[in-house]
Amino acid sequence: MEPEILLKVEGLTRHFGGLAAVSDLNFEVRRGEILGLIGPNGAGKSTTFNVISGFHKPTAGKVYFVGEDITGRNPARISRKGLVRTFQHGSLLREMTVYDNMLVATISLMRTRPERDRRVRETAEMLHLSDQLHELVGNLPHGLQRMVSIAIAFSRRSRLLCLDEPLTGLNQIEVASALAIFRRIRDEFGSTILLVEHNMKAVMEICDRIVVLDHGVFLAQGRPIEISQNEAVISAYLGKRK
Amino acid sequence: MAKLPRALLVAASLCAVIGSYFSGSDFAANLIIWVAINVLMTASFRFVLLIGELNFAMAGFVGIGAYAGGIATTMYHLPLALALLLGAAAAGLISLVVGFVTLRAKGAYFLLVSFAFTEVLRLIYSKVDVIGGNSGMIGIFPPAYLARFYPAIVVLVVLFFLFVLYRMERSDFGKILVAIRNNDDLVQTVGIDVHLTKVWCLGIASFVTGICGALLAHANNVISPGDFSFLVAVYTLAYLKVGGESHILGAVLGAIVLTLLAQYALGFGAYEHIFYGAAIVIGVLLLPDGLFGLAQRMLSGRRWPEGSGS
Ligand SMILES: Nc1ncnc2c1ncn2[C@@H]1O[C@H](COP(=O)(O)OP(=O)(O)O)[C@@H](O)[C@H]1O
Ligand SMILES: [Mg+2]
Repeated sequence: MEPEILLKVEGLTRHFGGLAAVSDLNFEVRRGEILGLIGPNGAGKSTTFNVISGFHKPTAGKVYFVGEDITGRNPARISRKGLVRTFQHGSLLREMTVYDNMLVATISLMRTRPERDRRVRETAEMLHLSDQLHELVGNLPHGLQRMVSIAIAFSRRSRLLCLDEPLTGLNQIEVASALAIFRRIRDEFGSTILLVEHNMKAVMEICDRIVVLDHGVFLAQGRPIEISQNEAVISAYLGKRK
Repeated sequence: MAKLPRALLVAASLCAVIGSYFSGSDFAANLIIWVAINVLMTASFRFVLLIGELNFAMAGFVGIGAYAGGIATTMYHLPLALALLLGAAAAGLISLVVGFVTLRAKGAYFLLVSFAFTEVLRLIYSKVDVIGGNSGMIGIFPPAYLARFYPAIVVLVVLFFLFVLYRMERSDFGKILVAIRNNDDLVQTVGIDVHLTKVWCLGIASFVTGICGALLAHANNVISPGDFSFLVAVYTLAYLKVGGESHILGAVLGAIVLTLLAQYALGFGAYEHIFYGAAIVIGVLLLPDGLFGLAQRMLSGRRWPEGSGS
């Protein structure tokens, strides 16, 4: 049985030179939830992802995943343990086909080509990419490229998906379709999602809980309705935006 | 689609083998050997380019293969096959160490160390007297009963390893290599150890490069430190640029065409380097996909099958 707390971040701190990108951050992700991580530009969201997924060593603090201390492990090992993340600026293999993008994602997971092939086709089906399988990712329109990024992460059927601004540049229809897919990923496959996103409407709509960061510091957490009414959040975060 | 090129390849290979067996003159035989070895070296150079690294250390690994093969034959009188294998193994193993140390960091680190590595090796060859020091190592012959078949042996070995490299590129392992060139961070997020994969890629390529070195040593019969400067890698880069990087056949085409052309360039004497420099420039400026791309466009405008999954 999986523990209720899937990911736990304890006193997480990351400095870049004199800049404290993240300071003493504490939060946890519960199994099966969609947790939003929001905050103005430069709040430290991507840095938090980088530390959780092993791309940056924390200056201080610990990261626990499924009860195990994964602080400072390399990204590949963390991924094999069931934590997959996307990058804000493109998680794509641009010179390769949609099929190969997903295939590469399944290699460390499955032994044989037929298994991998089946997984790729199932994933493509679910993300409405079956007709684009043999197109080069670099040639696809932006919306489909975003879908491929999600498809790469999802084709691993990881316990935890950390998505960094997956909805950027999508139109309303594409956003709705992406949100429906996130829900299916959670409901049908039992995955948990940690979502960094600037589209407030989408965040409020899909997240079970939200954690708010500002200047690397924890500001608030709660259900979407609580966050949208939180004074500190409104002045520090929403107030700054147009 | 794949059928026509495959038939062509088989036919061309057969011609090469038969031709190299019957090649009357020594000059023709040597030319076939040089072309074949250059073809395989270029394919091996390209294999490392799949992960996006310019393998200028290749010259060093050719040298290691040549000296190891030469030592096996002249000092220990081992069979030819074993000498080739030792050349390959020595280059492959040393490259694993070099790769492990240099391929961890991103950026031009590997490229820079490659130059130093190549030059240090040359220094070592020139200082070690048992392997001939500055004047080099002599008397590296294939056994007498094989001498007549040597060109055909070289062509067969080259064809075999070309095929191996081709299959590897098309395998899922090969897709990981290309994926690393595209976006190595992403490859890590899907659970693949990028550093180790790069090291293996270099190891495989250098094993093949080592074979080339050993084959070359037994063809030239004499090797010296000067044969293995980084210019070897520059020439190889020229073959690849002219032939085209997008397919292994580009490496084959480029090496064949330029090696043959260079026979005329030899007449230029000291200007030989200019010939190669010009070839690179012309290749890059006028042939974006090299001769292979040109052939592709002429043959119908359709791409030859690349990745599978179809
Ligand atoms: N690799 C880095 N080197 C130096 N500073 C960085 C680096 N990554 C992020 N930062 C800084 O850390 C702060 C937080 O950035 P980031 O985590 O990307 O914010 P967010 O994703 O919330 O917009 C910013 O001030 C940014 O400039
Ligand atoms: Mg960010």
